[in-house]
Amino acid sequence: MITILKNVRLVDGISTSARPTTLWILGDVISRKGEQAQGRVEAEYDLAGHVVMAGGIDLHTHIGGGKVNLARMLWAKPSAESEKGSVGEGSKPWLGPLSAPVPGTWETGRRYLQMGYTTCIEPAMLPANARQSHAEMQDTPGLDTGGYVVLGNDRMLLRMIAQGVPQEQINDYVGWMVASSSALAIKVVNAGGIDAFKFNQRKLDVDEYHPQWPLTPRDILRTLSRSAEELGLAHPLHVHCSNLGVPGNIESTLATLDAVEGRPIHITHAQYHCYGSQGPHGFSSAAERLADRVNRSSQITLDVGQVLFGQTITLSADTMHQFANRKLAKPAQGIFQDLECQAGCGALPFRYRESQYVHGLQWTIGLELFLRVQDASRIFLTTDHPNGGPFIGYPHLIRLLMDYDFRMSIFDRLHPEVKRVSTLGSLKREYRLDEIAAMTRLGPARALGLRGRGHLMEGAVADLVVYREDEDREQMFAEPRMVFRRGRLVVRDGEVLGEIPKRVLVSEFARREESLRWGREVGNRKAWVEQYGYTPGVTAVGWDELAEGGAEVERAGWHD
Amino acid sequence: MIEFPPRAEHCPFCSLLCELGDVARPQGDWNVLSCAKRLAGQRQAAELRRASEQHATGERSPTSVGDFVTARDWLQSAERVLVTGRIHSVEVSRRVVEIARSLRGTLDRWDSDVSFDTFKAIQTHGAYMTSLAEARDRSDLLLVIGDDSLLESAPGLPESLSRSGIEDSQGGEQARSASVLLLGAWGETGIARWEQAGFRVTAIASQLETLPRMLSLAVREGERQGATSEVSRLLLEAKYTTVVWSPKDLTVSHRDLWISEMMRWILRRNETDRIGALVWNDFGATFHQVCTWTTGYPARVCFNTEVANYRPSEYSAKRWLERNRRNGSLVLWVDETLGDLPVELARSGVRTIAVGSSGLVAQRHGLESSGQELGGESSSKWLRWIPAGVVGVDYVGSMFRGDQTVLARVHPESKETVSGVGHRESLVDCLGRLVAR
Repeated sequence: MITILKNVRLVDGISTSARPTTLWILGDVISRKGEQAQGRVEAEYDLAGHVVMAGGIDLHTHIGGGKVNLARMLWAKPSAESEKGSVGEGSKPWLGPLSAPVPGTWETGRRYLQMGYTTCIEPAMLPANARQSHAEMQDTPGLDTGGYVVLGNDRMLLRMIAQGVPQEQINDYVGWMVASSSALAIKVVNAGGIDAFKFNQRKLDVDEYHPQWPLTPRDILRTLSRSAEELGLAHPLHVHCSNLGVPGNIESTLATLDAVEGRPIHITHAQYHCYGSQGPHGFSSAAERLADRVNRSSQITLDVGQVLFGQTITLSADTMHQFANRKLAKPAQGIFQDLECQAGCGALPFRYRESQYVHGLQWTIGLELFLRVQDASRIFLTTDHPNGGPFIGYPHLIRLLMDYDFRMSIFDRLHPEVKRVSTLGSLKREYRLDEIAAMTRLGPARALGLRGRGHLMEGAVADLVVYREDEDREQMFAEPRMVFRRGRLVVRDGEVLGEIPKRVLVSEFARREESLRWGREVGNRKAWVEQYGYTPGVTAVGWDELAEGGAEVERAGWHD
Repeated sequence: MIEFPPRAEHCPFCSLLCELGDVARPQGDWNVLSCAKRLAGQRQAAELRRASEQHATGERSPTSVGDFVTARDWLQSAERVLVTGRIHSVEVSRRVVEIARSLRGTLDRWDSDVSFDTFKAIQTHGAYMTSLAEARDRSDLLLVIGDDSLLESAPGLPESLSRSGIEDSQGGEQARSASVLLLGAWGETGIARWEQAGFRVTAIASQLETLPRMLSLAVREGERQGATSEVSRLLLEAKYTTVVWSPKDLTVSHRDLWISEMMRWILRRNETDRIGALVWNDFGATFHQVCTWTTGYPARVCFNTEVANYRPSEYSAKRWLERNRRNGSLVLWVDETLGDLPVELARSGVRTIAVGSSGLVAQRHGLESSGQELGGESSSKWLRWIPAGVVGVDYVGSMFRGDQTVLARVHPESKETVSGVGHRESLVDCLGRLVAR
């Protein structure tokens, strides 16, 4: 089956084709020389005035798992009295607001797809909760999904590090956790801090000792980054640093970068981790210091976690800091949980306001990071959905990056002190289309080891998005003309036409088979039963189980 | 062969907790031995199956092609549909959400009032919760509220929370044994069960209604003038307290207010100390979880627009039934348990398609004649039964443990437990056939 896209400009994250060209879809892959192909032409589209990009990849969005569902439950409000006025009605429901900051999976999948995103990764799967995370993602239509397994507060690991267990044995344990969760990578959230909070410690700096174990977050970060490297995981350690949201936390963020001793590292929702403590309210931007560090080291990638103004729900495994922020919740609710000797979670409704100094400065800090990091393929566009704002704000965020005047028009509305202290106005950079493609497609695909995604090269997966060129970039990215999934047209002018079988992205790392043996070894099983009260297999999610649920398993492992 | 002492495992018959022996075999093959409740459930299922097979030879088999066709006709011609029942597995929950969406129907679990009291309470101020393994590992004080009925629904709970006999993680000493403070109306049997699990038990008979206030006062007064009571002393000395209750077994007049007050106290206490609630839910928790993630709401939704409409007071199953006793209404009753059809449903006379084993139970008890009595007309006019298997007995399903943190696969029990139990069509497949176009 052949589909031909004619007279279209290609934007592949490296460059934008100067002249319109033709792109062929042969079955479920892209071809740049399809004129030689044999077969029936299914469809041919003249796309003059359009650009095509690979399907969007969101490598950090909270779309499945216990805390996400707690947030949904916390937020659930009776629908409006008039059913006709509810979300989902109207001529273009795909442009309207979400029914909730964290909607159900059905709505999440459709809205991502209608925006041209085809791959989304849940960044915080607890091993004990991996089955639920995958189940939710499997119920998210239209998207291929995967998850990072949360380690670094699991008591079995902390005990091993504290007891000086050799790195190789720790690697086997970590490998088991990745494999038995069918995960794509390892995430660490406030290393050791979530567990410390269970011992009533309210703060844990990178070189501070845990109240129970003779170890520091630096030890945990070093150990886990070594495991990620030595196991051969494509995505480096995905790090939510210590001291999230705390003024002056740039010091612990830079210490975190040092802790991995030159190994690759991904800093997630970096906006929340580059604050200084100067300025009118003891809160200032340190984006320049973090960006400088990133610009000097090719081993570091970031996603931003941009704040967008409006109502949302913040949710995180970082119970220590979520609980500390409890009194800032709007409306005044909050749900927290200590979980299974592995981590925790907290969900708080939150409203970011333009008129509020801290919120305004957070907005500028995120944008500063985007504009100061030079290589767009190493900084990724996220709001840390839903923490900085729901994902449907991405087209707006793209416009902020591509349009200086638009950016300044909002900057002018912020708290006067923000305008006085922020350097945002001096950053005149406007992102180009190929840079947007790099930060939303090519870069994330490389960072995750997804060889066939994120680009338009010969043989790539034909997940494609066709945008009508429009000076209003928000409009352009909010409403793609067409979305193809593996060669099949699934969205046309906002209308979802169909679905294709889902794929779950899992890590195929070098020592996977050895790691799976860890959970079968009698001594390890005994230790596990003593820790959790059940055997390791109870929470393990195998590839066969994912396949039983109707998903295809795609193995990721591309090292660029 | 190496044997571990009995440990909690997942079970579809006792809130996913029961005592099991976990046995390692040399090849790395592990078997799970069953608990009494699970065995009893399986025997009941087998008995029902035999009854069904005998009945299937008669003229009025519920599985006859004619009845199946009628059920489909009813479904297609219905003007208003309520999808409800006793739904316990992820797989069936997913399917009923899909069906309710495709039929533009209303969706709720039967008897969901207890769950909605909890949701309402948590939405008022919030909650601080903990999980089973966390409580077991970290807690030095378990404050267990209720009475012996908690141990009827979760018989393995004391053993699951006990670290008795486990070596300490640092240095091989015996692990500390947590204290248990039983508050409410515990009987001797219940107290003995906690003691047998290795806990130091203090039982204080107390009024549940005023308990949140009593606990709050005990801490406040203890902080001001030193511990003046046993409750105060235990609470102030504890490093990590776990407060355990089962909403279903709370005998208070306003459950939602009680939970809300208790959660407020727990949240406040966490500002200086560490404490969490271990809320032990009934089987319906799985359905509410799935409904929440697929629709954004825990249940009580109507799919009359593209995105689910959520009205907890209006779209409860029982309220729907009260308001829709007229022609054109249809109840799709989906049951993963071995219970009877509810009397309210039978009395309503609303057309009902019952999928699952409840139909078999009804049949065994001669509901057809009861139907005449209750509905004033033969049940054949309003009821069609489509038998299907039972999760955890006939087919694999995924169910949440009572604390809703671990989603476990529940496998059909091993062959040595109940011989001759065949594998009946799963509920998911059965529902699929029913709604197939």
